[in-house]
Formats: sequence, structure tokens, C-alpha cells
Amino acid sequence: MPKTYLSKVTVLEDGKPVTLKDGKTIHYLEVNKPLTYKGITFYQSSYQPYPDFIVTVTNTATGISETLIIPAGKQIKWQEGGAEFGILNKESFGESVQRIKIWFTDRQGDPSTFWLNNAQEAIIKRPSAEYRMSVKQLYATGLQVTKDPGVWFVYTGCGMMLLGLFVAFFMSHRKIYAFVHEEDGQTKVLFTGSAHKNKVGFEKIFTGLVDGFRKKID
Amino acid sequence: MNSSQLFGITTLCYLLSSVFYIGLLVFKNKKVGTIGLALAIIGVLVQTVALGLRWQESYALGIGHAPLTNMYESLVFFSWCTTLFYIFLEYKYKARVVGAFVMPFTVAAMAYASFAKGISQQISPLIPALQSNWLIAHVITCFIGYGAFAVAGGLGMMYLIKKSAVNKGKEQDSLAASLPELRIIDDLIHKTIVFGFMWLSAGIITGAIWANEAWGTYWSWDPKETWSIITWFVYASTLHARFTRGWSGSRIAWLAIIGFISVFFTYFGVNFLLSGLHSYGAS
Repeated sequence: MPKTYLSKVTVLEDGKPVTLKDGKTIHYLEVNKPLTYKGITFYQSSYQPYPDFIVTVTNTATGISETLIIPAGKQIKWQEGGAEFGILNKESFGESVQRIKIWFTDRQGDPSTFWLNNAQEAIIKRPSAEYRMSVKQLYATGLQVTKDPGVWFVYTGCGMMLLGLFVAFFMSHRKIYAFVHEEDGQTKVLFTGSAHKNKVGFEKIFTGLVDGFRKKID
Repeated sequence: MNSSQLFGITTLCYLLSSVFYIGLLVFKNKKVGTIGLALAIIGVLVQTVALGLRWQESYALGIGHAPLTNMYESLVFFSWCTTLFYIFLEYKYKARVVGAFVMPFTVAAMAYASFAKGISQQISPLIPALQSNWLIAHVITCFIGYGAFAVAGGLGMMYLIKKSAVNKGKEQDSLAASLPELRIIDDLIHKTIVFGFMWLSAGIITGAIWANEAWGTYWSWDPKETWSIITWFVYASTLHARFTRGWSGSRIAWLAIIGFISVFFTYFGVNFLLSGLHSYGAS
């Protein structure tokens, strides 16, 4: 089970990286952490493994370093670093490569061959120099882009819907009448009331009011 | 003492509580009902501690998430919500015998969570889609709704049993006589559905907002979403029929049962039969 789906994203404006709100130029885009820039939001939505690999090699003696994208099974000549290398074999889990078998030579002595975990770095001691090398499978990331300036209208609508449900269920028009009149020299008060819904609840309130009135008089 | 032992005690409490409530229904002895309530309360307290402990255990494992992420945890949470809602209902409306129709649901949920094949009790790391604070808001709102609808379904059955006894002129028959009056059950069904409906609406809305925050789309018509909107419509129609057409009694009781079947399918059927964005619920 993957722990996370992550894309490192840089926004370019006029060819220059933009400093984002958090003060960095690289944003780590994850499933629940989209990136919003000038009203446009980028979401991590899918990914696709490729059969190619990103190889970074460094000649520690000269300090020359290079990053290349290479397919498996092809011999790469790296003139500046004075070496040749290639990917002999790979172990995959589905389409995700777990381990890679590397072939590496500086044309002095026997070539080195070894297994390396995906995205791990190896130090290769050769007669001419020491090399550092890391190999990572190439992935494409699928981003979903939305421009949705109306999102707050939608959220407000959701809130109003819940409020509306509350009003519809728990509030009602209630009418209470008190008719004061004289009958045989006595003052009589007649109470009537109506509610257009939740009649059971209204009955309780109404009875409570009338009882309270009766107590006051007594 | 770990959380699964406490969940075991909870199951036992709920089981005994159901037995006592059914005893109340049969023997009409008030003391039996009080014991049933006491057991339900003990069960829910133990379960609360167990949920907190499981949460803590997940942090101890270095995973650290609320216990709301797979079938086992959701079943446990469902029984917790249902029992809590029922205790509240009993406290507020004093309709004690309802427990005989509700507590068996919670036992079933706990027992199924603990003993069914293919339900993992392990605490596992969160998949990326669930790594969000919306998880808690979304699951809690939905499950309070589900809990209320389970109670409404139980009340619906109770109404129909009482009604058939009344129709046959057997009101004094031992079982039906201990049930509350039809008018009271009807009112309780309505109140419970209203309560559940508001929470289900809130649950669907929090889900839509979360989907928008995570994927940039409110609604993807995955099976769980589709079925939750079907459930929402069933209850919306029920309430609408009552408000505008004056439906009550047996028809509403049937709708409460149909609604619960729909909830059941949204919860289980979708997880096990249809795959989609909510598929993690099945394991």
C-alpha cells in the first residue's frame, strides 16, 4: 500500500520560479494538500510509471555530475565523467520497479555489476575514481486543475441548506389568541391557538402557557 | 488491558442488555428494563474508553489516526453511535421497551466486526486519500445519521407489530401490550428520522467539501455517493409525504424500514459488491 502520492511542483512565471506563500519555490503536492496559485488549484489526481529511469552520476574525484533519463538495457557513454553504465535488469511489483541491476565501468579492470534499490544511492569504487550513482524509476504525475471562484457560493449554499432544514423541521408559524369577554358579570378569558406543523410540540407549549396563566390568577 | 478486550466486554454488555430489554418486552417487569439500560450505559462507557485506547494505540504504533478508517472500526463506531442515540432517546422520551428493537442491531454490528471472516481488526496506516482532518467530521456526521436511522428502523418494526395486534383486537396480548401507544411510536419515528436526516445531509455535505479539497470535484458519482443520495431521497420523500400529504402510521413505519434497508446497502452492499472511491471500507 502506498504511503503517499507526492509531486514536487514549481510554478514558473516568465520562466522564473515563483516564491509561494510558505516562502518556498517547491510545493509538495499531496492528495489532501492541493496547491492554489492565483485562483487556480492543482490537485494530485493520478500517476503513471514509465519504463525509463532517472540516473544521477557523480565523479567524486572531478566533481562532475550529470542527470540523465535512460531506458533499461542500453549502454550509456558518459564522456565527461569517464565512465560507461547501463541497466541490466529490474525487479518490479506491478509496474513499480523495486530493484535495479546496474552495470558500471570506467574501462579499467572488470566492470561492476550490482543490485540497487529504487531511488537509493550507491558508491562505486573504481580504479580511476570513486563514483556516486542513484537510479530512480521515471513517473508521470496526473494533476487535476480547477478554477472555481464560485466555491464559496457552493459552501454558503450548503450552509443555507442545513439552516433551511433546521427552520423547516423545528420552527413553525404559531398563533395564540386570547379572547377576553364578560359573561354573567364575570370576566372570562378564552385561549385558542394553532400551529401549521409539529402540533404535538405546540400542544405542550400551549398547555404550559395556559397553566402558567391560571396559576398567576389563582 | 487493550482495546480489543474492552470491545469484547462491550459486546457482552450489549448482548446482555438486549436480553434484558427483550425480557422487559415479554415479562413487563420494570426492573428488568432498568438492568437493560444500565448494561447499555456500561457498554457504551467501556466502548468509549476502548475507542480512545485504540486511537492511542494507533499513535503508539506510529500510525496515529482516528479509529474510523476501515470496516471493523466503522462497525464499532456504528454500534457506539446507535447505542448512544438510543440511550438519549430513552432518557428523553421514556420509551424503554424500544431497546428490545435497537440493542440487537448493536450486538449484530459488534459481533460481525469481531467474528466475521475477512474483517481485519489490525490498525493499519492511512491510505493517502484518507489523510485529512475531514475524515473525522465526515465519518462522525454520517454515522450519527446511520445510528438514528437504525433506531428509526427498529421503531418502524415495533409500530407494525403493535399495529397488527391492534387490528386483530389482541392489544392485551403480552407482547403488544408492553409496547407504547401507536401515536407515541409514530411521533418517535418522525423525530428520529428528522434527526438522522439532518446528520445525513451534513455527512453528504462534509463529504462533498472534502472531495473538493482533496480532488477538486464535489461529486464523482461513485457507488457510495450514489447510494447515499438514494438514501437521502428515501428519507426526504418520507418527510415530505408527512409534511405535505399528512402521511403517518404504517406508511411512515414502512418507509422507516425501507430507509434503513437503503442505509444498510449504502454501508455494506456498496463496500462489498461495488468498487469505487470508498472501497477501503471493505477491508
